[in-house]
Amino acid sequence: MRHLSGTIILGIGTLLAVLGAAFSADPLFRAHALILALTLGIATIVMARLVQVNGNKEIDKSGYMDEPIRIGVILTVFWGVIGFLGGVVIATQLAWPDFNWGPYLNFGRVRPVHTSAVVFAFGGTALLTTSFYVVQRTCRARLWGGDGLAWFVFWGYQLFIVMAATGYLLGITQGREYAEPEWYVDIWLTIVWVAYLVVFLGTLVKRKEKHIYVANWFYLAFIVTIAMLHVVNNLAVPVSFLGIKSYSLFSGVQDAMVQWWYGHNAVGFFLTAGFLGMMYYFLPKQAQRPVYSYRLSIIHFWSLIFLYIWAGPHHLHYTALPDWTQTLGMAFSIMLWMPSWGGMINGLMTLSGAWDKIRTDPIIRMMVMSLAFYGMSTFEGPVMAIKAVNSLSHYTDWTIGHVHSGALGWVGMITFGSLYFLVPRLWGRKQLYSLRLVNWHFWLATLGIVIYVSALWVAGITQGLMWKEYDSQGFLVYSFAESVAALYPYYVLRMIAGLLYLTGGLIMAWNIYKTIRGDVRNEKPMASPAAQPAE
Amino acid sequence: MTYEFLRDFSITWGLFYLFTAFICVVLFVLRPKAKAEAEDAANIPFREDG
Repeated sequence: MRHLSGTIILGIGTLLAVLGAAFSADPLFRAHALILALTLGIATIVMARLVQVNGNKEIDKSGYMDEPIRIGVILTVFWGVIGFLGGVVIATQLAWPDFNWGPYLNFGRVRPVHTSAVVFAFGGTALLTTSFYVVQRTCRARLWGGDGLAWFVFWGYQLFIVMAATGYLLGITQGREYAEPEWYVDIWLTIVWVAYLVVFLGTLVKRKEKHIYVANWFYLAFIVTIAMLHVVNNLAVPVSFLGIKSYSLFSGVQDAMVQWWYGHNAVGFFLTAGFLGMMYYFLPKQAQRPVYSYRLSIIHFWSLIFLYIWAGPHHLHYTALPDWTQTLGMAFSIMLWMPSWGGMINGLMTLSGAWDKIRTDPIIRMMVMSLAFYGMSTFEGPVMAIKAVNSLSHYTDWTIGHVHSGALGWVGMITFGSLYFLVPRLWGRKQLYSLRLVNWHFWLATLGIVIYVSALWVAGITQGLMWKEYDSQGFLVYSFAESVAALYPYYVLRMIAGLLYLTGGLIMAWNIYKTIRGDVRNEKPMASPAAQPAE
Repeated sequence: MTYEFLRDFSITWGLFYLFTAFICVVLFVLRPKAKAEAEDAANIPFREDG
């Protein structure tokens, strides 16, 4: 009777959600609880249809547990396209405010949908999926905790995404950046995350390999640190147990510091450490050679861990935060150059002796471009953390450009490369549907990032200079609205750049769909024989 | 336990503790015997069953 207990639990969950809606303290909680009831109700029906009453087909549990990984790959692509589309929508809204369709589709509500969709839905699902793949292969062990626990982590996380996104559109937010979901969604994520940690640790413990491969160290650091950050940042007291509103345990500058301790380390441990785990497995696999220096990778790991956690205060330069804390954040940000570049060099040098692969293999090219953007954005970040630079860059679009150089360039590209690596293997296909389409994706994405980043450099510096411009009498030369109007052409460019990146994502979705179907595109091979290197 | 005490403790003994721990990690990684182990570990992704 597989799936029976799961069906019953989902049914009870649906009932509880309906009860929550019935006794809700405010209308928004009622709407949110009804969305939860609908989601769980559909899940119950789907699950009930999977129940096998007789015949109890035993599934083979000797091999790796790849079913959630296959679904995870599809969902990563899906969330990626949704997240990129959300970015194009809000970029359009900034350029032409008429596209704000209130109240549900106002910029203020769609913006967290975009950030959460790319960071937590696209990035998070990619990390969950690849970590399950990598930990099983490098430990040569099936996921620990039985199939039920892994499925709970996987679908539990998807439920978190649905609840977070629908909450934002309804207007439910605690207003903490990258941590907008209210207290009840936060508690749910905590439960799912602890289960994730248990599955991951359990698999590490029962490994058949003596050493824990470095990719798993990065994944583990990501899981543990995100658990700590999430819990502390979301310490809050709900007003009612059936209402949306809660109040943070912190106030004033302490609250600001906790938020940016969380916010910066979400970048450091979610968007960096987790994806470095991905890089340290998929790059060597795709290049078919071990990482350049394994010892450097371990030093990379520990220095990243020791330094990153202190860099948060650079988000609060020239605020009420004590000066020494600001200087500490700045100093640690500058020191972060070293591990970041050590990691980048380690990844790039993995290709030493096989540089021709950059020309012949578009997947390698994607991974190399992602490392290049890792290097560039981790160079730019410390520069911006210097107080003098920050006095120009802070609160401007330069910051947004910087984030996107890391997110589109590093996180996006390494994920695309890993997905292209995974799909043929997970579905038992000899090759991708089309390498030429991967190449198209590569160039569309690269062009999109370059336009995006350079447009926002100009926009940010324009803003910063206009805001700082005083006349001889000491009056500000420009009003704020004038600086907004000056940005119009860059906002349009940004929207176009987003469209290019989104088009690349759609091409990837098509390519992966055709690969899963088992089709192979009739096309000229990528490397022409005429361009072979001289031996 | 005042704010001043915590701050002074963290920028002296706290810093010393973390820095020493980091140096120990680096020395451990760079010890001569670690080279062979590291080369072996680097090949883990190529040893999997399937």
